[in-house]
Amino acid sequence: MANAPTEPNVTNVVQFESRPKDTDRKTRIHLSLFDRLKFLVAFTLTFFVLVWSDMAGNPLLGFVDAVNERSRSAWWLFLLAAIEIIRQVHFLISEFASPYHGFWQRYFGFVDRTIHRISDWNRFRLSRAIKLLLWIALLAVILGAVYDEAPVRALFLAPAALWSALPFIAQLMFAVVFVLIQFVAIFWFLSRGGIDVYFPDDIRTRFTDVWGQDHVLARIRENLMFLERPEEIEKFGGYVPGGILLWGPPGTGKTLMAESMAGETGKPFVFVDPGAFNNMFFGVGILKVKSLFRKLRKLALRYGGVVAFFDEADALGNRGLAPAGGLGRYSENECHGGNYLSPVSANLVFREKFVMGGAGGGGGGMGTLQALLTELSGLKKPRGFFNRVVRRTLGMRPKTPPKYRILIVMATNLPEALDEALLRPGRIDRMYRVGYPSKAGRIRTYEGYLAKVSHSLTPEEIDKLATITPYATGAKIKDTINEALIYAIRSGRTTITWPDVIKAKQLKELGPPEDVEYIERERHAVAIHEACHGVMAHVVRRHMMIDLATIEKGSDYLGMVASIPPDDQFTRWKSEYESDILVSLASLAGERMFFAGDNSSGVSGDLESATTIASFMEGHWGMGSTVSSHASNKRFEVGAPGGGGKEKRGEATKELRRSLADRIESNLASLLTKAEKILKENRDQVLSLAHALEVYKTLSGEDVAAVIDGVEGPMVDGRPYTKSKNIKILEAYHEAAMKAHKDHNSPSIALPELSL
Amino acid sequence: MIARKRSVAILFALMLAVTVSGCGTPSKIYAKNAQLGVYFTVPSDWIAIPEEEIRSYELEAADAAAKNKADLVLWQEAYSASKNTTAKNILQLEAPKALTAFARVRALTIEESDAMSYNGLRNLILPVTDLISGTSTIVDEFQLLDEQEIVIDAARGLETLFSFTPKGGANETVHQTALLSNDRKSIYFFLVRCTTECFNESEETVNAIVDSFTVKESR
Repeated sequence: MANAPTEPNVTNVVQFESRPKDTDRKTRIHLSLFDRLKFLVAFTLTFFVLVWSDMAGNPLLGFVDAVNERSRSAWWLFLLAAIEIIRQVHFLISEFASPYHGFWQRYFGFVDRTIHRISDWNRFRLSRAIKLLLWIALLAVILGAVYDEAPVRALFLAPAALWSALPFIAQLMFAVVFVLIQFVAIFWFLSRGGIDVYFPDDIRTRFTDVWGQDHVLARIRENLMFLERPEEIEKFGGYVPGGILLWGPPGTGKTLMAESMAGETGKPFVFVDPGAFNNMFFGVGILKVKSLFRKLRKLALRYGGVVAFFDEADALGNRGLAPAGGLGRYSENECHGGNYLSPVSANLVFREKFVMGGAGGGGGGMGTLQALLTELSGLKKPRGFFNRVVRRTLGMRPKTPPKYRILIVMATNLPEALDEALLRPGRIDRMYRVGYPSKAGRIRTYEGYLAKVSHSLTPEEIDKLATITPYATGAKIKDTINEALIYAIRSGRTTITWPDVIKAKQLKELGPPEDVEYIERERHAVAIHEACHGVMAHVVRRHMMIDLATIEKGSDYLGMVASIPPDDQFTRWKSEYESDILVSLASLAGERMFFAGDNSSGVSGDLESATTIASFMEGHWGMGSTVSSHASNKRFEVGAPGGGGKEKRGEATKELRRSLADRIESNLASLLTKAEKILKENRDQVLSLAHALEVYKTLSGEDVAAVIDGVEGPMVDGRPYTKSKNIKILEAYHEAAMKAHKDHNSPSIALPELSL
Repeated sequence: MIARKRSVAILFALMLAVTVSGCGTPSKIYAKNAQLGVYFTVPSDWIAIPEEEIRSYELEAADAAAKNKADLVLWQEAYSASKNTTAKNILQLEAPKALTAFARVRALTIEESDAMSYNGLRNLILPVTDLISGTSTIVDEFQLLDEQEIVIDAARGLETLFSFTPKGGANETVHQTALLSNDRKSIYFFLVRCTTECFNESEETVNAIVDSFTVKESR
C-alpha cells in the first residue's frame, strides 16, 4: 500500500447538485418578475389602447376626460386586474410562507381527489359542458359589442341575424357543393357501365346448345339447382357453393356455357364486361365493384337469387403471389406429379415454378381486386343508413343482412393470372377445366353444326372427321363447317360434301396456299423431301396416321406432311418418340440418298424437332441412359451427370455418364443410319409418292397410303405405282432432275404421266 | 438587467398612477354622433333631454308637412343647465329659463337642397333676413348681434348671434350655427339659447360650448 497512487483531492471541484424534487419543496417556486406582471401589463396596455381609440374617435376629447370615460365603461378590466393582483399576492405569500403553501397544497389535493371520484367519462362530459358554456358566453359578449346590446339579449338576436345571412351563406355553400357535385357526377358516370342484366327468357341459349362438355355441364346443372333450391343442402347443414371458375384454352365454350346458364336459370343473369375494371382514375374500379354488388344484392333479394358472370377474369389482375400448389396446370400428357407428395415437398416444387401472369396489380388497378375479394366474402355487415344510424340512435341494434343468393361464375384462359385469394374455397368453390372436347364431344359438335346446314356427310365420315381434328374446339368446328359451306357455294352448290369439309380443314390448318409455282427442279426436290417424310411415317409411325401431304408453299414452310393420332391417347412411349425422330430425320437421310450426298437447308426444322425430342428423351423422360431429370439439375445448377468429371471410374460407367449433348448426338446418329436403311428399302415408294405430290400438289392421308400401298384411293389411284415400268420412268425423271439440280437448269424430261 | 427591470417598474408605476388619477368624474359631457361626424361638449353638470321627448313634442303639434320634415331628422340631442327644461322649452319661441344647447342634423329634400342658400340657413328658425330688413314683425326688438361665415372641411354655413323678444315673453339671446354639408344633402344645426340675462351671465360657458361644436367628414 506504500506505493498506492494518491487520490486527487476532489473537495474543491464543483459537483453536480440535483435540484430539489417538486414533492420535497416546502414553498412555491419563485416566479420571475415578468411572469408576475405580465397580465397586469396586458390589462394596462388594453386600457390605454381603448383610451387611445376613444380619443381618436372624438376630436374634442381630452386625455384626462378620455381616461375618465373609459374607466367608467371598462370596469371589467379593473375587475380582472384586481383579481390578478390578489392572485399574485397569493403566490408571493406562498413563496415565502411554507405553512400557507402547505395549506393550499393540501386543499388542492383534496379538491382533486373529490373531483376524481366522478368517473372519467362524467368528468369529460362536465368539462365539455363547461367549455361549451364559456364559448357561448364569449360569443354573447362579442355579439353584445357588435349589436350594442346587453350580451344576453344579443345572443338571442344572433339567430335572427344568422337567418338573414343564410342566403349569403347558402350561396357560399352552393359554390362548394357545385364543385363537389361535379366530381361526384364524373365518378358516378365513370363507374357506370360494364354491367348487363339479363332476365329469364332474354337469352335463348340452353344447355342443349352446348356440345362436347357434358361433364362440366353436369356440375353446372348441380350448381344452378342449388341456387334455385338452396334448402336442398342447407337443411342438412351445408351451404350453397358460391363460386365457379371455368378455365381452359380459348374457344372451348366457356362463354357459351355461361350464356346457356343464363338461358336455363330462372334467375337474373348479370354479365360483367371484362373491360369494366380498367378505369381512368384510381378508385373508379372500386366504385364499380361496389355498385355491381349493390345491384347483385338487390336483384338477389328481389328475385331470390342471381348469377353473376365475369368473363376474362384475368383482367382483374393479380397481387403477385404464387398460386397454391395443388392446382394442376401441367400439360396434358403428364402425370401431375404433385398430389402424392407431402405438402412441404409440393410447395418446394411448385413455388419454384411460379408463372408470371399479370402480376403486380394487373388491369384492375389499385384496390379493385381487393374490393372484389372483400365483396365476395367479406364481413356480413349490416347495410343501409337507416338500419345502421337511425336504429342505433334509437338504442336498437342494427339488423343483420339477409342471405344473398349470389352465384359467381368466372371464365378465363389464364388461370395462373388469377390471384390466389380469389381461388380459395369460399370465394370460388369449384374450378372446372373446360378443355378440348373428347372425340365423342367433337362428334356431337360436328353433328350439331352440320344439322344447321345442308350436308351429305355420313356418320362414318363425321367420325373420321372428328378423328382427324384432335384439338378442335367448338369455335374451330363451327368455323370449319362455315368455311366448308363457303367452298360449296363457291362451287355452285348448296350442300356440303366431304371434299368441301376436307378442304376447309386444310385451309384452316395450313392457311391459303401462296400462289407460288416452284421451278421444276425445286418442285421435285421438295416432293422428294416430303415423300421421304411420308413414307417413313407410313412405315414406322403406326401410332399416328397421316393427315395430309402437300408441296404447296405456305407462309412458313415449303411442304408439309401432317399426322394426327387416331385415338385420344394421353401418354406416349419411347418407341413412339423414336419413330417421331425417324420421321424427322427421314428428310435428311432421303435428301442425302437421292441427291448424292447433297442436302438442303429445308431440313432445319426437322433437325430441330428431332434434337428436341431426343434431348427430352435423354434428359427428361428417362428414355436415355441416365435417370436424373435434366430439368431439375438445371434448376438447381447441379450439373449433368458425367459432365467433365475428374474422378476416374470404370470404363462402363464412363460410357454411361458421358455428357448429355454427346449422348443426344450419338442417339441421333444411330437413328439416322436406321432411317437411311428404311428409305433404301422403300426407294420405289418414295419416288411414287413424290410423283403423286408433284401431280396433285396436296394429298390427303388416305391418298398417301393408297400411293404407298399401290391401291386405289379416294382421289388418287395408286395402282400405276406398282408397275415396274412406271418405276423405271420415275427413276429416269429423277435422274434428269438430279442433273438439272447440279447444272442449275430445268430437267430435260417433263413430269411424266403414268398410266395403269 | 437591473436597469431594465427598474425602467419597467417605473413605467408601470406611471401608468398605474395615471389610471388611478382617472378615477374621478369627467369635466364635460361629450355629445357626439361619430357616424355623422358631429361632436360638441357641454358642462358636466348639465342635464340631457331625451330625444324621444323632443320628437314626440314636435310630432303632436305638427301638420303633415312638419311630420315629413320630422322623419328627415338624422340625429338630435339637447342639454340644459336646469332639469326643469323640457322639449317644449327648446322648440318654442319662448326662451328656456336656463342655458340650453340643442343640436340637430337633418337630411334635405331635393327641393330644399336645390334652394338652400345662406339666407335659407340663417332663416331656419326665425326669418332673420326679413327681421333684419324689418319686413317681418313676428317678433319684437330683433337685434342682429354678430354673424360670421364658417367654412370647415365638411361643411360651410353661418354662425349668427341675435336677440329678440317673442310676443308676450322675455328678451332672449340665441346663438345659432347652421351649416350645410358639402354634398348639400344635410344641414347641421346648433342652438345655444337662454334669456338675455342668463346668456350674458354665462358668457364663458356659452363660448366654450359654441367653440366645441365640430363637424367632421362623416364616416
